[in-house]
Amino acid sequence: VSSEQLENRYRLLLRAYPSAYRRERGDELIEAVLASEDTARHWPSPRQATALITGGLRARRNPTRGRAGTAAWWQGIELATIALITYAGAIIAGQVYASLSILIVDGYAVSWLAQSLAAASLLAALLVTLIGGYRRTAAGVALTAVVVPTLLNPHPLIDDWTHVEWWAPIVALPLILAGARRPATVPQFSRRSRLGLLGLCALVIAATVISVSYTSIFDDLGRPFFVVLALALVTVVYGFIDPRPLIAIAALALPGLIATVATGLNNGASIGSFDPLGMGVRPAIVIVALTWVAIMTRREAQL
Amino acid sequence: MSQPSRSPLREPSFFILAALQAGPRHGYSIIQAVVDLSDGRLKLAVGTLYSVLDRLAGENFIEVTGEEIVNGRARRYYVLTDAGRCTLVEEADRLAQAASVVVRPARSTSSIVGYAT
Repeated sequence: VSSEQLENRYRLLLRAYPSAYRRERGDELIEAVLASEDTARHWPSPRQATALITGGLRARRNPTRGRAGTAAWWQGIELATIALITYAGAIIAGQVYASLSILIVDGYAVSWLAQSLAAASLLAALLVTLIGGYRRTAAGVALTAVVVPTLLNPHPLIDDWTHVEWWAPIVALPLILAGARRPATVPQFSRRSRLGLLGLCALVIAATVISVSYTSIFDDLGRPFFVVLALALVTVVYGFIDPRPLIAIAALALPGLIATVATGLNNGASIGSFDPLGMGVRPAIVIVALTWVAIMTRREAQL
Repeated sequence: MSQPSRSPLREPSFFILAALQAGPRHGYSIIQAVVDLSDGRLKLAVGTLYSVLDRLAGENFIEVTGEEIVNGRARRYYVLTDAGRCTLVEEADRLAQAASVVVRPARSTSSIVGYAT
């Protein structure tokens, strides 16, 4: 009975592998793992369990030597653009919610709502085109997502450039255009992965709106901090297996860094006007994340 | 001695290829052979073994040579390909060359040490 229990528990762990892999190799892995284990065991050993889970997640990504490094970078860039637009979309969604919550509808609130709604619609369209893989359309929508909300601002360019959400599509645009140089050997995300990404992006945006609705509107406006922090932690842990989301983390730090510099310049560029946390932590995030990606991709290129 | 044309093999890959030198082996048999060859230093977990096997097969260094059913479960046998054997020999040469620097120091190295002392 104990060996049956053990086998069932190992089969549960095998669910980390893609279903096609399990169908083809599942019995073989079970045979090897049961032969390696003490038959009196009831539970999988932590060493075998960890190796099966990480092996399964790697098999899902299917890295093959030589192309692995290149594929990770290109797919990471694609994830980075999606993450940037989701981040901006989450901030704007919070703003739409906040502007709708303001009971006194004066001229400023109406124009703010119009700007936020236009930005939200364009970012949503951009997200769908990006996840759908329509690169050229996405480039056009990204440009529109910068220009239209800027023109709708009663004071265009006075303070736009100090906002993270304004910079996000601008940072995303060269990454979208760079996609034209993506080698044909780099595999595209599967339809299932794209649907999963769309769901995750919607979840992040929804979680941000909920977090804004449960806290002081203006305190958290434009700062879906805890959602991003939680996702970042998951990404860092997952980064030990898959470096691609770390490229997205690095990209996410860029709009904030540029906006911090812009705010400092707006405030007269005195030393005290620069946010030291934003100026110090964000470049560190970019450097650490990209160094980690470089180490991981180099390791994966080795047999 | 031929110069290695590729990056060095990582230890698990090297020992797995070495384990397959003697002939076809199935998964658990490879794990046991790797333990023996490495004097018990390297105990591959099954998930790790199959990740490496997949990548070695992707490089055409190994291939599946046969399959049998044991206890109602499929058991595959893996074998070295010619490319895998070449890579293994090349890597062994590289390691031997590196080891010789330490085991039998070159005359020039000795003279430098002598000069320093």
